[in-house]
Amino acid sequence: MSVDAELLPKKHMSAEEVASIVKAAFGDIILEDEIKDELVVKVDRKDILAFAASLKSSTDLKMNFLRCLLGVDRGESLEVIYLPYSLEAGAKITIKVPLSKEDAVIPSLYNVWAGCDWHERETAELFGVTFEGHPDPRKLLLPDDFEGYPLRKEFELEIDEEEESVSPINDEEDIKKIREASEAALKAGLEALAKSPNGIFARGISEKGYEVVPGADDKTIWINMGPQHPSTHGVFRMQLQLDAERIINCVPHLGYLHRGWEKLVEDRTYMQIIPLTDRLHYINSVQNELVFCMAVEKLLEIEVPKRAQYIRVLLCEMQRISNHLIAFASFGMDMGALTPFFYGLRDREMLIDLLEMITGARLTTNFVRVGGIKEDIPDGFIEEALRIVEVFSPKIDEYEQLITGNEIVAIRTKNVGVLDREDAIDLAVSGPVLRASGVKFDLRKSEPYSSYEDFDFEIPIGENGDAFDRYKVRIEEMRQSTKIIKQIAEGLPEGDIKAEVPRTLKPEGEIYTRIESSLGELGLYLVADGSPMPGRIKIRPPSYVNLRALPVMLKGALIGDVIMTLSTIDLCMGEVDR
Amino acid sequence: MFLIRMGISVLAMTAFIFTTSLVLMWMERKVVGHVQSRLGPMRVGFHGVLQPVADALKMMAKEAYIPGNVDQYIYRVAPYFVFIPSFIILVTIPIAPNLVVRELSIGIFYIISVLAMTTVGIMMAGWSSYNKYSLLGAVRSVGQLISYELPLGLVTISVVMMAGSLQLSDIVTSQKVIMGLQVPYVVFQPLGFFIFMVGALAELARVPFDLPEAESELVAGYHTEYAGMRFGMILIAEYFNMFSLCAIASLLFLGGWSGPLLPPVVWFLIKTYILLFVLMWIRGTLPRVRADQLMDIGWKFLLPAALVNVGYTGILVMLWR
Amino acid sequence: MKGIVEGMTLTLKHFFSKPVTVQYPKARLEQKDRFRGELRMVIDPESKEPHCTACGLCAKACPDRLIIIKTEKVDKKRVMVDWQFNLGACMFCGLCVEACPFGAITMSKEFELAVYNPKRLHYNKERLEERAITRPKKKAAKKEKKPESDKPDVAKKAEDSGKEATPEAGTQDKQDKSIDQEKIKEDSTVHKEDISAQNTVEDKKTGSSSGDENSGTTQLKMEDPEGSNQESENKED
Repeated sequence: MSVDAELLPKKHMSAEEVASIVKAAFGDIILEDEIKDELVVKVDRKDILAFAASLKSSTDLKMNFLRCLLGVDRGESLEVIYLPYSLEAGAKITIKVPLSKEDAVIPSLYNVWAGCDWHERETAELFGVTFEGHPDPRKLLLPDDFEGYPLRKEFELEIDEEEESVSPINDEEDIKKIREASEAALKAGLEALAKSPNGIFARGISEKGYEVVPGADDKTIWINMGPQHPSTHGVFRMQLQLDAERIINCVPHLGYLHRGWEKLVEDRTYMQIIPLTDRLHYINSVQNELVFCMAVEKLLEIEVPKRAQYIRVLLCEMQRISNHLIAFASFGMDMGALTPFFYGLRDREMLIDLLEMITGARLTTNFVRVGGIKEDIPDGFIEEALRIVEVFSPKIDEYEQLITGNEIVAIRTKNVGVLDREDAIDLAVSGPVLRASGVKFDLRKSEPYSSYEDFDFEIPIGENGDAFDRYKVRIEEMRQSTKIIKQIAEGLPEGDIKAEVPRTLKPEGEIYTRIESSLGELGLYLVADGSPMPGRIKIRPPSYVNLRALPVMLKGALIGDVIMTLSTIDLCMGEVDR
Repeated sequence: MFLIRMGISVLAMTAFIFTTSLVLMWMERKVVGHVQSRLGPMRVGFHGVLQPVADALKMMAKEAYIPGNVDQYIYRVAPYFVFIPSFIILVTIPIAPNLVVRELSIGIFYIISVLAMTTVGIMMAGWSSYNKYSLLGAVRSVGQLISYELPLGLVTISVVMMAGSLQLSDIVTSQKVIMGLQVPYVVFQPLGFFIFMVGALAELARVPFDLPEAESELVAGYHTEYAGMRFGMILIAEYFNMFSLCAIASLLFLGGWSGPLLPPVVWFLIKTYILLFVLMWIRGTLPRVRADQLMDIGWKFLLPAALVNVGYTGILVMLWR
Repeated sequence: MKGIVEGMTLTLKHFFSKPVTVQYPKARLEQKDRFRGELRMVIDPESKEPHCTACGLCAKACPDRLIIIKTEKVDKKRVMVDWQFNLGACMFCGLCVEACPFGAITMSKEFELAVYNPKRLHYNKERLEERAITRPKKKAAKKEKKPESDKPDVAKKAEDSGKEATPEAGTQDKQDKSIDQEKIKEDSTVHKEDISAQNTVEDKKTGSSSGDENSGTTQLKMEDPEGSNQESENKED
């Protein structure tokens, strides 16, 4: 793996520098501005298109990477917030555009940043904002016949009443009643389905149609790769337009695992949200908790003790290895090689056991707390961690022996699913997918959080952006993670595991925090209003944004490449759908 | 007499086919399991020996439905076309010097031609299923099977040239004797052996060429619409074809039943089962190639190599005469 | 070909090595100490009474609001009548265990909890007491240390805690932690599953120093309608 490309961003512009440039060039259209963590400006909706276009094309602030786009309900009005970032200059800005609830129309920025696509569709369906000029304004996460705008404050969730079981238990009768009730519900559901306008095709095939590629005639066929897959990527549906064996178009459909996470958390206190963040990307639960707790800590200005920071990093890196093992396992399986799956999962058991030793659970850990971690590591943990590092490093060589040199793997994955560097940056792809396309950008190096600056590790990058490079980047990242774990296990400082925190957490303010999770940039925008429950939390899932790059990667591919490419993006639908 | 003899041989062949298929099913699951650091079936019988029996019983108990839109006649007949060739091939395979159902003087030629009949069965199954994925799978597998028969045939020609006869038992007995030991043909034709094994993998539709039954690909294969015992027949045919082709490989290249000390039948079975083990080992290791790459390998690599092999064998034979 | 051959030698090596399968359910693996399994109540081995004082912190902590506590006032002190909880909806996060200041609930290592009748997953006090873990409240009865001084300590702590009228069970339990934290670890009657409860109890105690501060904050918690954050209490709001 070549690590010769320059580490981005090349410089880190401070908020004041950005403010001076922006105010000088656009002083007239800015309504308000302030500098908190970064420059926050408020712009009217008629100026946003020009503003965004010139931010992207400006030579000092080449803001070519859109971190996130979200909507917020401010009670009386709505607001759309844009968060562009410059990969070369390290400049950040937050742009807020206020909208009224009745007339929530705003020009779409699809032509400026292609990464806006799905963020805008999601904001449109969840808040009722209309993005003018968006090429494909269908619903993304919600079913096509859903009515209402869920994330507006006036939309109330129906909460089931808690049942109290005071009646005595009679097994036979209870089971009989439950069976009858479920059969009745099934019948009612089928009748409702029969009456609905599109029947069982209610999702996805609507009159508006898909983006028909010019020049394709009726010889093409549409194939559906349904929500149930033989591969291990969760519930994800794709429609592929084929011309003989070549793929012309790919339409992804999401939302099969949508649980309304962002609405649920508005009803819970910060402590209660932590187990819920586990379940976003359920394999990397510590990283999800970490980004959430970091956001709250920044707003409350709490400093986490060193020991707690080191342990957080240790767990994050362990879960990074665990996630990459699963990516490796399903990579092999989707090609037809059954053994890497078992080897990967067998070795992952070691790491999961270690996780269970320290947190109590294998998957949903619920361990990171605001201000530190829940409890200290048990005895014998450091020795076990070092032993596992010793045992694990030769296993990575084994995996390479099995897959990397294999000629069949080479012909299956080289030059398959290629994502160009320019496309990758424009679509705001991040993580191993971005690094495999040749962009040396890693948040652990550019904006170190939680003491990452104390550790010595490298960032592997790829050259071609094909499936093989993504696989190779993940293998190298596993090696670097074992290096970090070794450094932590050998040099864990003494100290507290938790800072002093107020009994009830009532942060105030707004912040966007991001960390480098195993899949890419995991971001969290927190709107806190001083009450024990948050006002709005928006998660920017890395695999959601990476998945948007799938149609671009599949242009001109064959059917046999579809599954390969999909598995190297490394999805987790829990995160994509929330 | 003739009828009695035929009856006994038919019964013996059927029993042999079914037992071998069951043994192979068990062996595959165990070998692939151990390659993957796990145990394989353990519960049903001692170390899972009765697992294939349980699978067979399950398959017989399943509802053998016939979808409404299929071509009724062809759908019912197709599994037989897939199954019968393996039966017919077994007729001519000599297990020991005199243990063969019917010796044919054109033995190997007959086998190669009958193998092609399986292709017809697969095409019938895929076409009659009225399912576009079945059809695509059948078309692909027919293309694969046809392309790989050519290198297979050419390599057999090389062995026949060295042996001087098409009859299988003659091929075994005509191995050159060097220093008192019979030298199997693989020593003289390593390339030929390699081509034969790769061609056999493609004929059997096994990894790395198992597109017809690939699970994680888009199409589900020609036998999607089959259930119950019809599917069981197709499955048994697949496993037994594995045995047949490995038996032929061991007869042609590894010297069949020749070997010191042990009885000939045992040697034959040992050699065949070693080749079967190699097949299952490959299944546990290698990934699958893509459809177009499969055809590339068959036509651009194997066929020229087989022709080169024929040329080389010709030179070798001339030098020996 | 070289890559393929290397891969195949690796798999051959694995073919001849020992498989890693553990044949469940005949052979089982042991869970780690901190494993978060089924929620269990902790009762006193002698009096068979739960340690729970119905403070309601666990009910406030649960993210899904699955715990329902029914109390009634008996002789001017609050007594727990029923403690209901829906195991079917529980996500095994352990926030309730972390919140309980008395260690009255804990998470066991039990995870094979499937039932045929879903109503059996709605636990109430009787069902929990059937499956409860025992941990003694009074240290003095088991160990021979400080047999006499227990009583005066009880009286003293009772006076200090002031705000709450002193039910015998409740305050004694509160003092247990401040007096006998180390002894709890050594006590042989404590089951392994209790260690997680002990750990959380002890961590909480790194912050606060004495029992009465605990009771004071308990009272405050009951009236506070909003927050239910059980961090280590160093600052009073």
